[in-house]
Amino acid sequence: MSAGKVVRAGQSVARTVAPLKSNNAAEARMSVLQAYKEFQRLTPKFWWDFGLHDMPLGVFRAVIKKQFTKNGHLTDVRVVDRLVGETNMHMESIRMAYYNPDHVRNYLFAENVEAKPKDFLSKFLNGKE
Amino acid sequence: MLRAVVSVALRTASVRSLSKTVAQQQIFTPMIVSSSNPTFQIRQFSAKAPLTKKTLEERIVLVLSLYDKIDAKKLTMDSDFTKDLGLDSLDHVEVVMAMEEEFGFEIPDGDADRFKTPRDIFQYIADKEDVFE
Repeated sequence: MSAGKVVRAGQSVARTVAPLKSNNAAEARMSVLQAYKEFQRLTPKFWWDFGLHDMPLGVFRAVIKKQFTKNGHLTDVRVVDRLVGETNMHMESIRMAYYNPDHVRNYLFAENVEAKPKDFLSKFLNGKE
Repeated sequence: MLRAVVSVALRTASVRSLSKTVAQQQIFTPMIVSSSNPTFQIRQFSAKAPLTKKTLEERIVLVLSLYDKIDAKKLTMDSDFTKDLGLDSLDHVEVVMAMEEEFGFEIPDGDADRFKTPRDIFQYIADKEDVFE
């Protein structure tokens, strides 16, 4: 039984994966910066169209920037590529107005949304169970 | 109906055009050339204002000092964006976007990556816009 474990551990030592889009970290970084630039170009329209002008545009730009910097610790190229792809889809949805203003707010300001009850008692007290 | 209105409008316009050319020119010429307020700018999309090395440097410094994450006191032409001014790569992208807007042409990402100091931007724009003196 213990010998089997050793073999399984040995099999998963080296594993090469095909790149999604970028071949190396530098390419992934460039694609992130491109996405950021495009997003910042979109930001004034986004800000106005979704009724987010209760805050100044500069503040809103900082909010958008935070969405990028919160993933700054990622080093896996495939994960970064995936997130850049998601960002592009978000931008497309913003341009085509597929999102609703309330959903955008909940997504960008998730810390303001009241957390869902986790344990039984608070669920019970909130009338969820 | 609409066509009739348009043709009437055109006819009156053509009759008036001879007599009113001077007045129209006065309307379309910018009237704030001799304005006492120096911060007011005219942005025309027909042609760019001619650049000299001095005005180019002034405009770069102005744009950079107006950017809220740059301390205008620390800013010189040779201060490094990341080391001296404390910008991260996303701020750097925003600086390059501000330069694109100021000088009216797009800077490719590969070129923008090489900007380390304001002087690099100065040199790049001077090369692209043929500023020699």
